[in-house]
Amino acid sequence: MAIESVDVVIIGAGASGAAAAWSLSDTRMHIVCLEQGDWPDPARYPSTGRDWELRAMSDFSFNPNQRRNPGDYPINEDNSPIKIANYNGVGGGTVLYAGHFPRFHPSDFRVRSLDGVGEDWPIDYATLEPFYDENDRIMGVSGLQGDPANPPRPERMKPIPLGRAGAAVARGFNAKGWHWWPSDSTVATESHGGRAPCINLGHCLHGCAQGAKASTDITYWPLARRAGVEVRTRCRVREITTNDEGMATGVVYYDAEGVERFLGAEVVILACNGIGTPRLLLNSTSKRFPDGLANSSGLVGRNLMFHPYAYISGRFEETLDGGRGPSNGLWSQEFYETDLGRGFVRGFTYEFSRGQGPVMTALSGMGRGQLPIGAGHHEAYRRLHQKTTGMVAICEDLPERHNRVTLDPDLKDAHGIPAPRIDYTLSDNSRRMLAFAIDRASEVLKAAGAVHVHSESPLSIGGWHLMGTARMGLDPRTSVVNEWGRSHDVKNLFIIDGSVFVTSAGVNPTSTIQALALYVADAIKSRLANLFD
Amino acid sequence: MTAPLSHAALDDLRALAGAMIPASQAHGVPGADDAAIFAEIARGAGASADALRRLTAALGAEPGTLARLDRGALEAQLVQTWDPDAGALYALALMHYYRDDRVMTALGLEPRPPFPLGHPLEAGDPTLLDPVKARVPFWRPAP
Repeated sequence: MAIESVDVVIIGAGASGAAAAWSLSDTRMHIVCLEQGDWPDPARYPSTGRDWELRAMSDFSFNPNQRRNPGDYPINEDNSPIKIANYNGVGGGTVLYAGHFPRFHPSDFRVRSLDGVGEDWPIDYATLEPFYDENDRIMGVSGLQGDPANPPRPERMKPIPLGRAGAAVARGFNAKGWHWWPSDSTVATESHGGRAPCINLGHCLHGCAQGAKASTDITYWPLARRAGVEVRTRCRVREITTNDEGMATGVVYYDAEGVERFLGAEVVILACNGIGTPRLLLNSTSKRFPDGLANSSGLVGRNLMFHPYAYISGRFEETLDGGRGPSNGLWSQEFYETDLGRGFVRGFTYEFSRGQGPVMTALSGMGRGQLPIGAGHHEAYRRLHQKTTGMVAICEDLPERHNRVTLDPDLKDAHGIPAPRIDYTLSDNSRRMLAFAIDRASEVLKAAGAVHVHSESPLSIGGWHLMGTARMGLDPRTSVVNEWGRSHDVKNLFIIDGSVFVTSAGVNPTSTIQALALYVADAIKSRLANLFD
Repeated sequence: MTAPLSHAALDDLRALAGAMIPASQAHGVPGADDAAIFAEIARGAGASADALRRLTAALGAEPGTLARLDRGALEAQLVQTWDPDAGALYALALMHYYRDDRVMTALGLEPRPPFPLGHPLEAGDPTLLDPVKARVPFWRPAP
C-alpha cells in the first residue's frame, strides 16, 4: 500500500489549529488536520434539553476525567489544586469557553524588563496587533471601543447587555471609583458571518446552541474546508516520526476504527493545547530524541501556567438575572498592572459572572451552607434564587520550572498511549494576589448592595487556560520554539497553541492563542522558499 | 452501568429525599419524595447505593426502615449526623428537584429548556459608564 503523504499536517482542530488551517489554505498546499474528537452537534448541546444543567456535570463537563467522551484522554491531576478543563473535538476549547476575548497588554510581552520576573517574549504587542484584528474579524467580537485600560480596538458589534446583575456590579465599581468596561466577547450581539445573535440562553460555557458564540467549528473551519483543508475526526496521533537528519517525517495515528496509520508530511504543526502538545512531544521519542521531540532544552512540559481563579459572589435582596444571558459582559482591569504596594507582582482581571440557573443555584447554596434541609429549605432557596451575582479574578501565573506536564508511568488512554500527569503548586505570589482580589471584589459587591459575600480560591475546576509548556524564545537553551513558532531542534515542526506562551498575562488567552497561530502561519507563508533553513 | 437500588434502599432514599426537601403548601411546591420527582432521582441513584447504606447505618436504622420514622425526627437526626454521604444524597435530590415543572413554575420560571426561545435581558443604564469614560488611558506602555 502506498504511503499517504501531505504537505502539512495539523494536529488538533481547536482554536489555533483552525486559525492556522484557514490562513495556510490560501497557499493551496495539501493540508490535513487530525482531530481526536468529533464534530460537535449544536442540536445536542445541553441548552436544547430540560436536563441542561445536569449535562454540564456529565457529557459536557469541562473536565475530561469527568466527561469521558470517546475523544477524551485521561489526565492524572492528583498533584494539582487546579484541575484541567478542555474539550477534545472540532472547535476544541472554544466549544466550552465563555467567549471572553481580551487581548494581552503591551506590558505583558515585557514582564522581565518591566517587573524583573518571568521572561520577555521575543515578539511584542505591535507584532501581534494586525493578527488580533484579523482574528476579531473572523471570530466576530462584541464590545465597546474606548476602554481606557487598553490600547485602541477596531469597531465591534454592540456590547452584551448589562442586565440587572451587570448593572449592579457596575454600580459597585463606580462607588469605589474603579475601572470597569463592557467586555470584548465572541458572543455575537448582531448577525455575524452567518451566525445568529445571542438570545440569552445563559449556557455559553457548555456549547451555544444558538451559534451566537464563536467556536471555530462554525467560524474558521467552514472557511478552511471550503478552501480545501481536510479535517479527519476521531484520529488520535500517537507520535511524530523523524528521520536521521532530525526532520519530522509525519505522524502515526489511530483512525476512527482504531487502525494504526502513518501520514507523511513536509510540515507538522502542533495545536493540541498546553497539555496535549507536551504529551505528544514527550511520547515522540527516538534514538536521536530520547527525551522527547524538540526537547534539547529540557523545557518541554515545564513552566506550566494556569490562571489561578478566585470566585467572589454576592447575595442581593433585589432580583437579578439568574441564569439568563451570557455569563460574561464586563471586566475590570483596575488592578492589572504591577503595584508592589499591593504585596505581589503583576496583576489580574475581574470578569463579571452573571448568575446561575435553578439547579446550580441549589448546589452552590448547599456547598456554601446557605441551603438547609427540612422546613427552612424553601425560604432559604428563595433568598438565593436569581439574587446572586459576582465575578472571577483571573490572576497572572508566573512560569516556574517545577510546574510541569510529564508522562504518567501507569495511566494510558483508550489506545494505550501514555497519559499526561500534572504537577502544579500555587506560588506565594499567586496566593497573595488571590487574597487581594477577593478583598477588593468583596468591597465592590458590598458597595453594590450585596448582603452576603462568598468567595472560593483557587477555583479547583478552573484549569481552563493551559500555557507555557513549550515556550518561544530566541535562545534554544531556554526555549522550545523560536520567535515564529518553529522548533529549534526540528526545522519542519511548528507549535501554535498556548504551549508557546512565555508568560500568561492576566486575561483569557484564546484571542492571543489565535493571533499567534495566524502570525506563525503568516511567517510560514512568507518563508516558504527557505522555511527549513 | 450501576445496578438499580433495591426496594428497601429506594424506600430509604425516598424518605430521606422527603425529609431533605419537604413539600410546602406556602410555596405551592411538592416535596422531593413526590412520585414524579422521585422517579427521576431514583433513575440516577444506583451509584449512590454505598452512600445510602452508610448513611442509613449512621442514622442507626436498619435498611428499609427510614420511612417508618417521624419526618421531623428524621430531619433532626440528619442534621445531627450530617456527613459527606448525606451531602451527596442531598445534591442528588437537588439536581432533580429543581428541574421539575411544578417547582420551576412556582419559582416564576418557564418549564422549558433555554433553547430555542431564549430569554429577555435588560440592556442596563448606559450612563453608568460615564465616569469610566472620563478617565484618561492608563494602560502601561512597554519598552
